[in-house]
Amino acid sequence: MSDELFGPGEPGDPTYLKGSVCRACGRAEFPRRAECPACGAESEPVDLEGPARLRVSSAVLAQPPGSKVQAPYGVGVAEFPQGLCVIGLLVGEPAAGATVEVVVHEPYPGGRIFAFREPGFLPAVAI
Amino acid sequence: MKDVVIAGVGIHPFGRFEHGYREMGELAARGALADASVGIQDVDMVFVANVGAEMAKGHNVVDRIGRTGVPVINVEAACASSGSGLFMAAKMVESGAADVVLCLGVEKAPRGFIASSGFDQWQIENGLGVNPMYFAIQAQELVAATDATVEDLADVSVKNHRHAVDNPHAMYRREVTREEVLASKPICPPLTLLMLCAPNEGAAAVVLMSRKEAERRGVAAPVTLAGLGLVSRGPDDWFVPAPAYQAERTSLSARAATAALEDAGVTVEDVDVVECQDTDAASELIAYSDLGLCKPGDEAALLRSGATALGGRIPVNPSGGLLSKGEPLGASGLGQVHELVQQVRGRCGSRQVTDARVGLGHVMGAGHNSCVVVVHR
Repeated sequence: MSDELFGPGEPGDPTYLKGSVCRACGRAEFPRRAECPACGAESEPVDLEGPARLRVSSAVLAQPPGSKVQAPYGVGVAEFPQGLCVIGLLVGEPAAGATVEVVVHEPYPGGRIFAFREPGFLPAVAI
Repeated sequence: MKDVVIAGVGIHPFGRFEHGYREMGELAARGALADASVGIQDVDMVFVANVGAEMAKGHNVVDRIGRTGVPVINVEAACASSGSGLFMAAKMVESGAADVVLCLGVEKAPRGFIASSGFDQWQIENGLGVNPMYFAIQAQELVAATDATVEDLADVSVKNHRHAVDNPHAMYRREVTREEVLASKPICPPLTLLMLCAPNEGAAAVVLMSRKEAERRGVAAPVTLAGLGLVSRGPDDWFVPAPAYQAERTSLSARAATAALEDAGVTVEDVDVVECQDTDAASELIAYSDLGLCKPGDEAALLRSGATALGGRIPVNPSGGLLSKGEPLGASGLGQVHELVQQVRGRCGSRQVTDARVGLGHVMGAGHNSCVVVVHR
């Protein structure tokens, strides 16, 4: 599934979301669609790579059912220049309004998902 | 909506119970039949709204009341399930396909987070299939776009809990303070536990009739089902479980409200009492502007003015709302209709809205559904 959602990379690498844009009305969608859900016209693939603006910064503080990610963890909404807002996990604690990029993330051992991170963010390293 | 009346209403309290959904549904259905002074033998068709029970749930409830052979149809649309059932039932009566229709909503949900709201597996496994996260996103966008504050969110909960003290059908009937709401367990910032409703158990039912049938039967206190608006997702709407949304989005609730008011031939200024989908405190504020009670941006000002509290100009959720009653998904919409019918009949005791004539109910559910209903005396 992750192949259909975002580009390649190792955890921490910048990547992109696999979206689509309608050839007729210009609406962007994620995940990718072959046809525009609004007007039915053909859509073309687009890579949503940002930089994006973090529109919302929140968190999940109680453990949800079925989640392999252990709460608490940060979640947010990134608004891409194509006019599309995407919900995703956060790396670090970017505040609303921050500029973010899309990165490959390992939210639990062996897991792979996209996440949003401020460019240049460096995780604390144990010495 | 032409000449459709609500002849009777019934309810099983919302809360936590030892008995099952069948018993809850039976109690609400029998209550509505008795209120309408009809028996199950008089009913031409039954619609049953439910999300989580077994197959043929409606049939299993109706079987406890009678075996009359009429169609029993189950309806599911998340939080808008009973709104959708009511829509079908009303259209049947309006079209002349049926004279007497029983519509029931019933739910027995487990405690805690709702486990499946139509999320994809990748959302669930990666911690993104979380209903309160969606509500938190809406709340943050509201706080960012308007002058609404976290204190305002708390005050919605305070208001609705105060209303519920006198509602025997509500789960939580204790007043709470702003400080208590803010200090309750953080779930998804800015939302705390007491700003979120609890999925729970309960049932509510109505008996619909054509006006002619109600007159023929001499129904004691018919209430006009004046307007219904039911909408599903359009291209720029966003709600659970969609992983993305357009930067400029539209409101399902606003479209449902416009349709219902137009159907009823009234304007929002004519509405005396509102029951809305306060899944969380921010959802109630968003509903204020979606339903046309105020302009976008004026939601918090409307709350602070006291207009939406009992005694105010346009009381919202005099029942205590879902924040106090809890939300049995399949029953919540008809629970609102029960409250509105009793309000316009003047039967709500200490939580009665003075001289309530026109009531508006609003539900909004996962999968992108919204139903608005207008009733009047």
